Amino acid sequence: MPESTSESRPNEITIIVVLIVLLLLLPPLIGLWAFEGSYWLVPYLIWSVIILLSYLLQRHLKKHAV
Amino acid sequence: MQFELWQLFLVSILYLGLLFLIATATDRCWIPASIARHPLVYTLSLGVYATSWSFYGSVGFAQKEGFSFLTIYLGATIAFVASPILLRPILKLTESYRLASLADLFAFRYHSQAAGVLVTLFMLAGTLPYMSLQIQAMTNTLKIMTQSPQNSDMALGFCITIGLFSILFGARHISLREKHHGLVVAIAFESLVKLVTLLIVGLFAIFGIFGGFSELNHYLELNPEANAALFKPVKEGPWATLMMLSFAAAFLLPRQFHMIFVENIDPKAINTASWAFPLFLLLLNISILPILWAGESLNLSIPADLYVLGITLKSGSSILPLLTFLGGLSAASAMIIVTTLALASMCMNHLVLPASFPLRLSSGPNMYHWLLWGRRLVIVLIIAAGYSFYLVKQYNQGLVGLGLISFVAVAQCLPGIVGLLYWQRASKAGFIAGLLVGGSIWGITLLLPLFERAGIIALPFLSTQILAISTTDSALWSLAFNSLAFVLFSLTMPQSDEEREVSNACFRKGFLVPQGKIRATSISEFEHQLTKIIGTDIARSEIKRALSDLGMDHETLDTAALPLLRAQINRNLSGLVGPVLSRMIVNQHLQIDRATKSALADTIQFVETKNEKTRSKLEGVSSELDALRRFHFQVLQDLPLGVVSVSEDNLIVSWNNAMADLTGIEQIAIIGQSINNIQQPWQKILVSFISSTNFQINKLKTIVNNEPHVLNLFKAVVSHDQKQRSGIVILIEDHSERYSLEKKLAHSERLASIGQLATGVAHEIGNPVTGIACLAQDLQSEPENTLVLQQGLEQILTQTERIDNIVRALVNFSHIDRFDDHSVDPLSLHHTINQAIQLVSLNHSSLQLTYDNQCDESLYVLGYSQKLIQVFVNLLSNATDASIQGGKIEILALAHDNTVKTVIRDYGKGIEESHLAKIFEPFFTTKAVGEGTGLGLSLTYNIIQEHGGSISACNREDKGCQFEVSLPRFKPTDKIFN
Repeated sequence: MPESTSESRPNEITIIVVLIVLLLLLPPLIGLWAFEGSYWLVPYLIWSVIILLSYLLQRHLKKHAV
Repeated sequence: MQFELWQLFLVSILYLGLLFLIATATDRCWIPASIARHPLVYTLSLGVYATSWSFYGSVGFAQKEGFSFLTIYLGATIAFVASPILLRPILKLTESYRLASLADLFAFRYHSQAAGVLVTLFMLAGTLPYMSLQIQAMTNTLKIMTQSPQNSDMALGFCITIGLFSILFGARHISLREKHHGLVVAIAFESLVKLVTLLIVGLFAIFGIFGGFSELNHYLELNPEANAALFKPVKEGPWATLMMLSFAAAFLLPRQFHMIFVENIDPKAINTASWAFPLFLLLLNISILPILWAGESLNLSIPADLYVLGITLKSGSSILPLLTFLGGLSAASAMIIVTTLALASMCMNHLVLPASFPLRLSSGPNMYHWLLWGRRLVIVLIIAAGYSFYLVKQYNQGLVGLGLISFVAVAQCLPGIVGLLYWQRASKAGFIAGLLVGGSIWGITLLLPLFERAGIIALPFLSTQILAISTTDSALWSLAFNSLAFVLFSLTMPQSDEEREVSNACFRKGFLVPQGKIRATSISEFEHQLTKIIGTDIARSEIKRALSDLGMDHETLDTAALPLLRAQINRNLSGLVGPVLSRMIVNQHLQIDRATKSALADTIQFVETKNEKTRSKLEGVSSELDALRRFHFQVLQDLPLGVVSVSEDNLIVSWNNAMADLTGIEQIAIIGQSINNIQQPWQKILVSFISSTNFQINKLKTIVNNEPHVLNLFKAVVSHDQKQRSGIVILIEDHSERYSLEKKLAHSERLASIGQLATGVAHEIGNPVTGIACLAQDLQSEPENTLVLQQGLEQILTQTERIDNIVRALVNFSHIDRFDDHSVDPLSLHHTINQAIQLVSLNHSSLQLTYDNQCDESLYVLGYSQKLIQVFVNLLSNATDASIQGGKIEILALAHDNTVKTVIRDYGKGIEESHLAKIFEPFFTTKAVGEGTGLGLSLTYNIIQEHGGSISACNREDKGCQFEVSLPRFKPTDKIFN
């Protein structure tokens, strides 16, 4: 398997984070938190997690800036 | 609570005046740059995304579609999370090529004016519903706050006010290539007002209406359907489609594109925005549901779109409604100001200017002035169009519906963005076809029904029921067909060469290197050509600006830098009049002769400078090749040898660090210069070496900065292909230090030889002196004998001459050779060997050896006299040491065409076979300690090498050994090249 280069690594990590975000926000996993008995603040909580992921991603990219 | 219209108008004017003050304070640096350019200010300015739709409409959207209202912000969140692979590459392109709008971007990528025109028209059509949404929201607000019937005068007043401020904010500079720092800070302030207002209204809803969180929870327990209604549409509604639309809108809406890319000052700010902007959106939306439930609990009689204002009117205070009014005004004004600014730029660059090209540009006295007023006029026209749209669509489906129509419109550019960033084969034909197909479906299914419902048009064959599919269905169909057309046309109608070139540049696989030679030969010619289209003052100003951007000077600019200057002018004009028009101006007036091959130096300099200036990282194979190129370049740079490469037209292409150290001329000053213009002595050395037939010059002595230098020069011809020469590479070895050491060593060796000769010298001088003394005594005793006197004086003169010869030989042998004594002379071999014999005889007269110099007196060699004497002294001394008393040493000379071989033959004990290979090594000696330094033969070897000759030693079969020295022969017809 070809190794990722220092230039492609940030893109790969970003793609992984975006995929995680999509999994959280798109069916079928959305059913895990968006059901009728769920508390109204849960979507905001999920959103906060996504923002935290984005923050961590940027911190990682900044730390390992090429 | 009721307000008078004039009160609200006054508050609006004061608020907009405050914004203007903030913008002016920023532009005049009254606000510190550390604040104005802070990444969080940039992030807040992106809050222009949140318009009246977000401020007022989200509550109504949440009531109808539950949590689907969040998709408008979650899609934007995904776009910002993906910023390293989505927004950063676009930012790099817009920065590199000064692209000021989405239309510029597509016109550049797809190398098509038609693409720019189409995107502009489509953005214009797509934005009008959005602008009318803002006007409608503000007039609704005024109607509720003044409790007066809605009338078009309110809307007109609002449009005129906003129009004026849009001109004041956005059209103060000539073009969008100037960053509007003031605008960014003012829009950031507006975002802050929106956010704080919504948070305050949210807190009022929780604590003012419900009485606290527990009461709110109690309300939800009593009304479980309120909470359940939020989640139901998540699974059943068009959740994914709405997210896709907002994903596209987050960076493709004209106002978003403008704030994210055009007004970006620091590319790193986008990193902060990638998490801070979603956080801003989250905070903006956290109050929406409490406000909705507060409105429902109060049973307000107004649409849910206006609950934000409605609940504050129940507070009994005038401050909260006024604050909410200002929040709504912030949302609407920010959107209209930035949108008109962005659209005005698109309209100018892709509709107005191309339509008037080239007559209008050349006829006006001041193009800058014309452009500025043109943009102001376009801003007024756009706001007028938005107002007209507001008048005709009053029978519409609410704020969110209008907003979504705009979102679907901008989403049609998504395939184009995919082509721009990820699909290199995407072509102009594909993009235009996709946009036409998708745009048509959007127009038929979303736009026409709006007009039909308003009674503006009647569609006899297609009723509204057939046409008006849901917004999300329209989005899916239009995007699906758009993408299909995009792919099919891209595959069937491939790119042109120019399009492919731009595509490579977009994919960071290369630079837009001008192919061919620029016809203009000077900067004045550039200016003259540009004057024809943009006038003298502007041409001068643009050239000055381009030179300043490149860090170059008008006076010192070399012709090799003209391609760079041309590219920079193209880039700057792109920011002024758009990429297509800029390309047209540059192509027509700064023409390139494509038939002529680009000078190697020009291309290399262009690519190097471009690479360093843009600091863009190439990708894929290009990246690997670039890394290899950098490695090779670094190897050349760090070589301890001076490396100069010269193109076929005598321009210097490379000049490494060793050359810079040796000459004191920095690379930056020399690259691209003609070799005929560089300072002495390098011009003379390099020009004469390039023109000579020699491929090597050894020990060339020269003076550099008053310091003597000894150089070895080598050259090789560099060819692109086997037939054509494309340049010459010259290597320069600096042997100055080594030469200096060798010289000192040789001198020491000579002094050592003289030391060894001292006894013999004393003896040789002593004998004639004794003879002279005896003769003097004879003359004293017989002063009157004329014959004795005559003979005595003759003998004294003979003896004196003998002493003089000895002293002369010693002085000649021992003096320190001068540095500038670098001329090789024709030397008589016979005479040179005689001088050496005379010196050697001084020390070894007791051995009574016979030195038989059989060299032909007509034979001449080329060399340095003193050095060759030293060679023969060393060889004869060794032969003498090896010989027995009364022995014989023969010196023969064999003439060849170009060389003379001198053979020194002795009849001594010979050299041990095991020593033969080592005798020319330094410090190798078979003599006892103190009798020899071990450097004699080593120096001899070096001197012979310096003369371009050779030396060898062997044992003779009968007895003794033999040294053979080959030296360049001099014939009377030869010329001497020093």
